[in-house]
Amino acid sequence: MVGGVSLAHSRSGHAQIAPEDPQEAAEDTSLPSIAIHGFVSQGAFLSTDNDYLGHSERGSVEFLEAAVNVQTQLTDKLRVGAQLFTRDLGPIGNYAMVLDWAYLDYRWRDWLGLRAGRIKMPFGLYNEFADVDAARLPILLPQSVYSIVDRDFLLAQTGTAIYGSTPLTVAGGIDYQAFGGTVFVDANSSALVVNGPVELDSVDTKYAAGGQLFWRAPLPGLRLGGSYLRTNLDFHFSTDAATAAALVATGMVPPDFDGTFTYDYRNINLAVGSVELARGDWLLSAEYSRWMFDVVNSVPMLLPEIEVDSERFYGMLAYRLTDQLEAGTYYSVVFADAGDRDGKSDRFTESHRAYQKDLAVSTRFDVNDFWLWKLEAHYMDGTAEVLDPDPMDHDDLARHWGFFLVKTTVTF
Amino acid sequence: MTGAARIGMLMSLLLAAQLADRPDGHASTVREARDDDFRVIVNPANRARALSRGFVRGAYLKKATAWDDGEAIHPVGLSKRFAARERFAREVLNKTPSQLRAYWNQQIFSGKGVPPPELDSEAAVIAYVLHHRGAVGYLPASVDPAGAAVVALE
Repeated sequence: MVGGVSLAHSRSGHAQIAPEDPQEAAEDTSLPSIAIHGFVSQGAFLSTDNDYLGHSERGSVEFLEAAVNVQTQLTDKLRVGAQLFTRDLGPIGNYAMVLDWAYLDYRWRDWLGLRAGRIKMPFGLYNEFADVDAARLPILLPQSVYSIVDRDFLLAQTGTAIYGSTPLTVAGGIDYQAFGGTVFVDANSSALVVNGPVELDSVDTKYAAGGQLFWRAPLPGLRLGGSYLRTNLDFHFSTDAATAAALVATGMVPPDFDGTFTYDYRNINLAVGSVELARGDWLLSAEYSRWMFDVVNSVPMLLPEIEVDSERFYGMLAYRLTDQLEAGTYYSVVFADAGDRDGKSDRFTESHRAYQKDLAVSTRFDVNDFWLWKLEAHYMDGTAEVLDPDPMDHDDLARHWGFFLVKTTVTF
Repeated sequence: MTGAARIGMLMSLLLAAQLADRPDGHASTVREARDDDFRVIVNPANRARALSRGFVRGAYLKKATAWDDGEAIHPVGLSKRFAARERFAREVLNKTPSQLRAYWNQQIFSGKGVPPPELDSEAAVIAYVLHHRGAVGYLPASVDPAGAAVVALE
């Protein structure tokens, strides 16, 4: 017993440090209750071709996610909490424990609250909980908007945010968030693995700002909205002395080239429009997104300036067949270049590198409120989101391929 | 006896049988209450006697955190074993049990909050409402609110 309360599963099924007797809770005003929650997910995946999210061609069980968080309501208006998260997804994560989010939350009014700290990035319908398997049907959210490859940049921002919710009487209601701060990207994250004699030394974010606005329509279960993110990233690379000397000898770099160079991702603008309808046992959602940015190299001869305008969208349908069983499907599309959807330009080594079209079928079985299983199959056309294992061997990637996953999750 | 007269006598006999089954002898024209009927209750110090469904939904999903007078809202619910819980979720929160579970998983694991307490007895819900000035709860319709104020849902 600590401070007159005990740690036990509350009647709601969530582990809490709280009085078990509601009357006792009403009379004890000296200690705020502390809620502890967490989850562990373990999965496996296999692809018919292309190593996607790890060594999928040979099959992999490097697919674990786990988190634990603590939250407490200090006063009626003030909350604080933090969550630790770890992941192993092929070469990504490798069980490194990270601070997923940690922030103070002051809700001055329903229509205006303030958060400060490390805050999950609001982007689209599902980004803030894209790592929470129990919060959705598919194992893989549509990668067109919720790309695991780009997860590091959309995970969370460190800074401040304002948020609120207000009813509009007969017109439904509004939910909004706006934030400003920075994004921390770990250069050692394997999602940023670089091939060849080049190392990524660090990633600098000058700023990150954006917001989200959703309209809760009068029709129950319908909401429409949009999200926007603007940021600027600098990737600092270095190469060994021998490679630097060779580059100087070819004339591709200036004679004073010291082996270091920077990719400046400027004017990063990400936007997504969203619609979701949840009625009874049905869920229908669709999102359309554009990712636009410029890439400028400090040594232009190494890589000329690139302007990127990527087009991404999906539509998803899910149905709860029974209390325990849910099934659904989605069709997700990525065009790496909205102006070259067929990949005919020289920018793409193979045309199928310009797009990735993903037809997925998912099933979810809830054993009980705390334990679930999922099974999922994808038919892929294109390889835009596949990290090229060997840029010099263009025969490595297959245009049409399948990807299969199974996963189990326990929450508490 | 004509066919119509036989039908008429048969109907009279059936009606008489129904009346005989009722202890007060009156024919019932009121639908029997369902096990999952519910009533919304608040602390007796709360002057509200009717609440909109939108407001109650906001309270339980924690989008609305304060009453008009600034008093903090303290929602409380019943545990899963009560039929009224699911009906309340579907009719007031516009969510199926699985949608409600997903909603709270989303809130919990993004740090936005935790669900209202869900208690194992009607008496516990009543005690919670009586001890929190800003509380709002719900009970099976057949349960005596024992001092808590029942409010109409608009």
